[in-house]
Amino acid sequence: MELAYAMNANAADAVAKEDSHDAAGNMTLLDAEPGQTYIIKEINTDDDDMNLFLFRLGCYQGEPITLISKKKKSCIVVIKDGRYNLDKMLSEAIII
Amino acid sequence: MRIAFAGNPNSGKTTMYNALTGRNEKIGNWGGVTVGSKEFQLKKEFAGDKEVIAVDLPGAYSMSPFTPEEGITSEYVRTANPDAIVNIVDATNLSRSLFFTTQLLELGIPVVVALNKTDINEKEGTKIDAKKLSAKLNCPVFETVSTENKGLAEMIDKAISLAGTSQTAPYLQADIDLHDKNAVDAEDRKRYSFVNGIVSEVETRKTLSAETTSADKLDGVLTNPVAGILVFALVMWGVFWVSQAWLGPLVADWLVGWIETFQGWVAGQLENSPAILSALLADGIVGGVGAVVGFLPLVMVMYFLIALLEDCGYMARVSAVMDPIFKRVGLSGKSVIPVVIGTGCGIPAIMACRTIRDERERRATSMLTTFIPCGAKIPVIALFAGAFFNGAGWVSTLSYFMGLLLIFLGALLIKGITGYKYRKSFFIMELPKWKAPSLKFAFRSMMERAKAYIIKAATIILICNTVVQIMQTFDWHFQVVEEGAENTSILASIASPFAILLIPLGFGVWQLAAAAITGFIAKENVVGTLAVVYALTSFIDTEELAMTGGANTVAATMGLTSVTALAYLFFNLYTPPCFAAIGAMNSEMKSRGWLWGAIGLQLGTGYTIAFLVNQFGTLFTEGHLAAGFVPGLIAVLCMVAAVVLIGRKVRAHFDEQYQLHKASKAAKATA
Amino acid sequence: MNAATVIAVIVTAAILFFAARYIYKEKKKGKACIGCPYADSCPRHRQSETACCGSIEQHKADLR
Repeated sequence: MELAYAMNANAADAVAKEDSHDAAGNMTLLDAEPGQTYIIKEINTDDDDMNLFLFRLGCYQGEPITLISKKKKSCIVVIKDGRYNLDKMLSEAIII
Repeated sequence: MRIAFAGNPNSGKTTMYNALTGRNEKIGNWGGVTVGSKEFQLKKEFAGDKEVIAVDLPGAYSMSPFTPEEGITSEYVRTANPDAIVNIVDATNLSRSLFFTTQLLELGIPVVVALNKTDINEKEGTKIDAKKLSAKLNCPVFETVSTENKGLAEMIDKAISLAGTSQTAPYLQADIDLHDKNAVDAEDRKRYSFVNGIVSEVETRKTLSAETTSADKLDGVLTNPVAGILVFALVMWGVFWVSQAWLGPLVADWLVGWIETFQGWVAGQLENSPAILSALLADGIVGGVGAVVGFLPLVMVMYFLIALLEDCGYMARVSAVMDPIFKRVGLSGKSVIPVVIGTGCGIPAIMACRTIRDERERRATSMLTTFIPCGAKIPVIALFAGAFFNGAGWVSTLSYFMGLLLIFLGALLIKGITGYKYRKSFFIMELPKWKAPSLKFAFRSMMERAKAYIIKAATIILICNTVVQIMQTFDWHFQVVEEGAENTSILASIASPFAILLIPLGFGVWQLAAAAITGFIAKENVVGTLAVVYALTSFIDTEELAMTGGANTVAATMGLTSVTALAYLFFNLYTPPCFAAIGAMNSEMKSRGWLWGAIGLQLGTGYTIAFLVNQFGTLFTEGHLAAGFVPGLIAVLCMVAAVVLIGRKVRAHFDEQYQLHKASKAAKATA
Repeated sequence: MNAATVIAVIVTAAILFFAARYIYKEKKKGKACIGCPYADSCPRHRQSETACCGSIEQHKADLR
């Protein structure tokens, strides 16, 4: 319960943030701030199998995603309770 | 009765399988270690009087496969009708794991959930109400820790007693059109919200998984493009230094002393016997096999260190940091895992390529991964390092990084030949939690490999050595070859034609050619055969040799300078691997064209590298080119021409296909 | 022919015999690579498994 509650709180935060960004257009994971949790707006990999795979990991529209750290060509995120390393192309395909 | 073990990658299925069956299957702390199904009988203490077969399956996130190894799992549970399924759930990531659990529950086969890794949850203060979860899922749930054998007996008992019964699934997929993508999507969403509902009721967390921890800071450094690669190079150098320049040789020297004493004793006993018998037993069998076994400590120490590396969770980080570099040459970050496993043995490395999703990347990786010197090549490296380079540790490190470089160059070449067009290639790798590597596991894995090594030495290599010994003792008329007429032996006459081809590489004598050829059966044979044909058995013990001037004796007998020795070493390392590995390549690539391409590429690479090292090395050290420069250059140019031609052909074919595609599209558009 | 020779001949023959028998037995069991710790999971000798890999593509096609 605690988790769910905290997630929701974060999610609300994220929604607020996102609103402020909306004017500037969509934001991808690459524009996110490390340490923040965001809500996934859209996944756009142009690859059905990949979309499906991400879905099974719990990475889909409406779910929270947390950026842990970010490099030039990759980033580390938390989806559900697992940590993943994503490359640049995949980070760009996740709209938050 | 058969019980299948299914669950998410890296949830601990194989660890549990090993604990229940007493087997010693490969485990590691990253997703995708198990790439094929394995089955074995349960231990008596768990199965009682019944005959129960446990089936270990590769990890899968869901019933719809994404990579080939995931497909094995869904195919198995769907079609093989196991009597029960043990669903191993990673308790630290309940929310993701239950998605697959609900799918398994729908199959109508009794499912027992093993809530694994509960020890980590205890440490982190995460609580899962197993009773409530069991009620929600309508199936038994047991808390287990497979690394400590905790909860396994009760869990497997339940699974056995449930076998053949039926369970009611808590969640059934609605009857939808499975070809309608949107309907499937909506259905999956519903399933996830069902799972999320359960999780929020049964799980309480003290530390949020989204919090940044000290482990994240470490990951930050290890996945940093500069620091991470530096650390990786340092770690690999450390592995080689410890196994091949420090601890390994320390033990090896002691072992070799014993082998030599034994060999001397055998030879002494046979003083009055026919020379042929002494040669066969003392030189061929004891000497040849002893030369290979003498390197066992080096190989064992390396296997131990690699097992530690695989167990702690570092592999996933290496793969993440190498992804951008590998991607640039047309491979994927996942190609790193085969590369690291390949330091142990090429066959599991080639099989590990299954976790790579893109077919071209997968084939290219399995084609190139054997450029990494495997455990069987270590004796060859150590022999040459000892005899020609004063036992220098840099030889093995150089061989390793040379192998890496060849992988990059080879990948670029394949990219060029296949006319690889820009295509989206995504990379996602789960970073598992760090864990202290288990010394016990590493020790067991080391002993298992050592056993395999000894068996190989005592069977295949022993027979090969005996055959080589006989072939060099007799000529074609089955007369014993006289001293001074060694060139008339069967072995010499078979190997000589090959030796001519090797002249531009600096080692065109039949003895070395014969050793290289036997190396295709097993790479250790290179050492065994050299020991037999030169009747030199004590070249491993470099310290002793140095005292008696033996290293020079070895060098003089083999007629090699340090330049040609390096060329010969590289030739053996980078030509095609043993037949077994080629077979593995064949079954993973599933394409004749790719297989022959791979063999051709490896032959060409080995030849070219040896040619360059010999010619340029001689130019540097002696101020002139080595013998056979022009014929060698012609051979290399022919290979380049072949590559260009094949590339053209493949690309033309590719364009043709592409155009056909377009044509059909255009036709559709007009229609 | 002294005693040592006789013993040596017997030992040599025995070693070769057991080595050959081991290889023969393993081959009969279907293992291609002697002493390979991965022989059990080697895909070369498990037709069923390779067959199942082939059908994944089919399965994927079905899903689409």
